[in-house]
Amino acid sequence: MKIALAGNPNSGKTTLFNAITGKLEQVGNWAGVTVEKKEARVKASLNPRNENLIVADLPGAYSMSPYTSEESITKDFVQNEHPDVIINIVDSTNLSRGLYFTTQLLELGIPVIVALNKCDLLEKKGNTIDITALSDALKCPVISTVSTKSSNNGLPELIEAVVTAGKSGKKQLAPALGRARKISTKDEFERNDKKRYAFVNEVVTEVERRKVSSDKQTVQDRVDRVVAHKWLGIPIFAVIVYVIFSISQSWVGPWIADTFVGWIDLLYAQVSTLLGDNVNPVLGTLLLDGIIGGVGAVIGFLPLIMVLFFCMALLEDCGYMARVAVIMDRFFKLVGLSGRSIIPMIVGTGCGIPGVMATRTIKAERQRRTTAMLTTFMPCGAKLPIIALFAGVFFGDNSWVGTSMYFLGIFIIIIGALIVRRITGDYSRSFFIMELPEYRFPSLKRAAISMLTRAKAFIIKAGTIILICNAVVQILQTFDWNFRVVAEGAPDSSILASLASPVAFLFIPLGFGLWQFAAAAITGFIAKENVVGTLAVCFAITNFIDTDELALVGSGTDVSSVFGIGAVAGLSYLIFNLFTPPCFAAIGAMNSELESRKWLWGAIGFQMGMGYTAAFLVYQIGTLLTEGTLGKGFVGGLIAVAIIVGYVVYLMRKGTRDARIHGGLQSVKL
Amino acid sequence: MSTVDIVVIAVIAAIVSLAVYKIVRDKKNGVKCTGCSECNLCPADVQNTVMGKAANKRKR
Repeated sequence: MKIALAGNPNSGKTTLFNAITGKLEQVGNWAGVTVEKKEARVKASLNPRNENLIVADLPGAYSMSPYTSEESITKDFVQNEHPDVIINIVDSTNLSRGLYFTTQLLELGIPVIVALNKCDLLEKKGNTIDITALSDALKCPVISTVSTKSSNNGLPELIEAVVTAGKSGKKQLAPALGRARKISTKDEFERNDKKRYAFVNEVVTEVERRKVSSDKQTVQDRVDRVVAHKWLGIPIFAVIVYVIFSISQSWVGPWIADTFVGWIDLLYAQVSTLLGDNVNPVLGTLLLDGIIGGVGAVIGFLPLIMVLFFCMALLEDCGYMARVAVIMDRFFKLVGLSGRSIIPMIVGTGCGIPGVMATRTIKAERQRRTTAMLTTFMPCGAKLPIIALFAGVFFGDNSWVGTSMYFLGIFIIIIGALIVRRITGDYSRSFFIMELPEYRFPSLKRAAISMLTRAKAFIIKAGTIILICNAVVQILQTFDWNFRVVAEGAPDSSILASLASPVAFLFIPLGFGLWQFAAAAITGFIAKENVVGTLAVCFAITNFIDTDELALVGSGTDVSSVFGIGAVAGLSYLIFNLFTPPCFAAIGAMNSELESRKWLWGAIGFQMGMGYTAAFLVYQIGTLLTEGTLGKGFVGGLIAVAIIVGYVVYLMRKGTRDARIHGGLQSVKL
Repeated sequence: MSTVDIVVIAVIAAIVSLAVYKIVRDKKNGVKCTGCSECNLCPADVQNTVMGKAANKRKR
C-alpha cells in the first residue's frame, strides 16, 4: 500500500515520517527543509500485521497549483503515482491555512486521512478543535497526533485508519466542490477557489475555539518584536552566535576534548613504544605521524564540533533560525537577494552541498544562481576544525574569531551579490514571505541525534578520505623525486615541497608563503578538514589541543612557533581557506545548480579572487597596524589585487552598460 | 627488512585498504559522499553530479 504524506510546509511531515518509519531524516523548525520525495516502510511496532505499507514523505505545499519546484514534486506524486491513501498533515495551531490544501486533496478521489498534528502546542495555547465535527465536515477520518512524542502520540490510530481506508476501496468524497475536473477558464478557477475558502472559513468557525483571538498579540508576537527587530535583530544574532562559539570552543568543548585527545596521545605513545627503534624510520613515521598523528589531529576537534552542532540544532529546533531569515531579508533585498536566500546559507553551515542544492527552491533565475555561487561563503562544518585550530593557536579568547568568520561570510555574500547584480545588469527585486514557526522548547533528543549523526560522519570522513590523504602527504613529504628518503632537516627537497613551493610563492603577499601552508590549502580542496590534517603531518604535530590547560593552545607558545607565522598571517590563512572555493564536491553541486559553465567558472574565479583579496588586506593592514610597516610582498600582492579588482569593475561597468542598451531592468543572459 | 617492518607494512596496508574498501562499498550502496552527514538532505541527482556521474536531467 502506497501512502503519501502531504501537507503545508513546517506542518511536521518529516517528523511524522521519522516517527512512523523509524528513519532519521533531517527535520527543521522552518518551512522548506524537505525538497525531495523520501520513501520508507512503516516500522514493525506500528504495523503488527506486517502489511506492505510504504510511506512517501513529500515536500511541503500550500496548494495543488505549484509555485516552487518542490511543490511540483508533491503535486506530481499525488496526481500521477496514484497513492492508495493520502495522510494530510495539518498543523492544528494553523488550521485555517492547512485546510485549503486539504480541500484540494479531497477532490482527487483518493482516501484522505487528516493527521491533526502539533496538538500539544494547540493545548498549550488553550485552543480546542472539535475533531468529530471536523471529521464530519471533511467527510474523512481525522486523527489527532503529536509526532514529537514517543507515546500517546496518536500514530497507532493513524496507521490503523490508513490501513482501513486503503482496504475499503471507497472513493473519497469532496465536501467543498465535488470531484476534481479539468478547469478551462480563469473565472472558473477563481470561483472554485472562492468556494474552497468559504468552505474552510465555515468549517474553522464551526470546529475551532480560540482562547486568544488571532488579531491580538501573543507572547510570541511580543518576543518577535524584539528578536526580529530591524535594528536589534542583528546584535541579538551576533550575541547568540558568540555564546554558541564560547560554549563549544572555550567552555564545554575543550573540557571534553581534553579527555578525548588524551586517548589519542595514549594510542600514539603506546604504538611508539611498541615499535621502539626496531622499525624502519620511514615506516614508523608513516604510521605514527602520517596516519595516527594526522587523523588524530583532525579527530581531536570532534568534541568542539559536536558541542557546536548540538547548540546549532537546539537553535534551529526552537524556531529562531527562521527569524534570522527575516532579519537578513532587508539587507539581502538591497543587493537583489531576499530572505529566501538565507535558508540555503543556514543549511550550508552544515555542509555546502545541500546548501547549494537548497537554492532550487528559489524561483528567480538570477537570484537562484547568485545564491548558489555565494552559499559556500558561509563556513561549513568541515571548516570548523580550521577555525578552531587558528582561533586556538593564535588568539587566546577565541570565541570572537568563529563569530566574526560567520559575519564576515555574510558581509562577503552581500558584497558578492551586489557585484553579481551589477555584472548581470539584472536589477529585478523579489519579495519574501515566510511563515514563522511557533517558538518551542527545543528537543534535546533531536539535537542529540543531529549531533551524533554529524559526529559519526566526521569520524568516517577522518578514517577514510582524510586518512588516505594524510598517508599520501606523508609519503610525498618523505621522498624526493629520485625516490630517496629526504635527509633530516632538509624537507624542502621533498616531492611535496617541490609541488607546493610554486603555489607558496603566490602566498607571500598574504603572509604565509611556506610550502607547508600551500600544500595544506591544496589538499583542502579534497575535503576542508584536510587543511588541519596536512598541517599536522607537515609540521609533525600530533595534537593541537593543550591537554594540560583544558583549553585550546591560547598562549600560542607551542604550535604557533612551529608554524613560523604570526597571528596576523594566521588570521589571513584562516580567511583564505574559508573564503576561497569550497571542496571539489561542493563545486560539483554548484555546477549542477548553476547550469552554466560560464556561471560556474565565474563563481570559482570570484571565490578565488575574493579569498585572495580578503587575505591580502587582512595581512597587509594587520601588519601595518601591529608592526608599523607593510608585510612582505606588498607590491606584488597589490598588483595582483589591482588586476582582480580592475577586472571585476570592468565587468560591472560592462553589465550596467549592456543593461542600459537593452532597456535597463532586464536580465543579461550569461 | 625486519619482522617488525613487515608487520608495520601489513598494518598500514590493512588500514588504508579498509579506508578504500569503505569508500568503494559506500558508492555501491548509493552513499556517494563518504563521511558526509547531510546525505539525507541531498537529492540523488546532486549526489550523482558531485561524484562526476551523469546528472539526472532535472525538470524545473
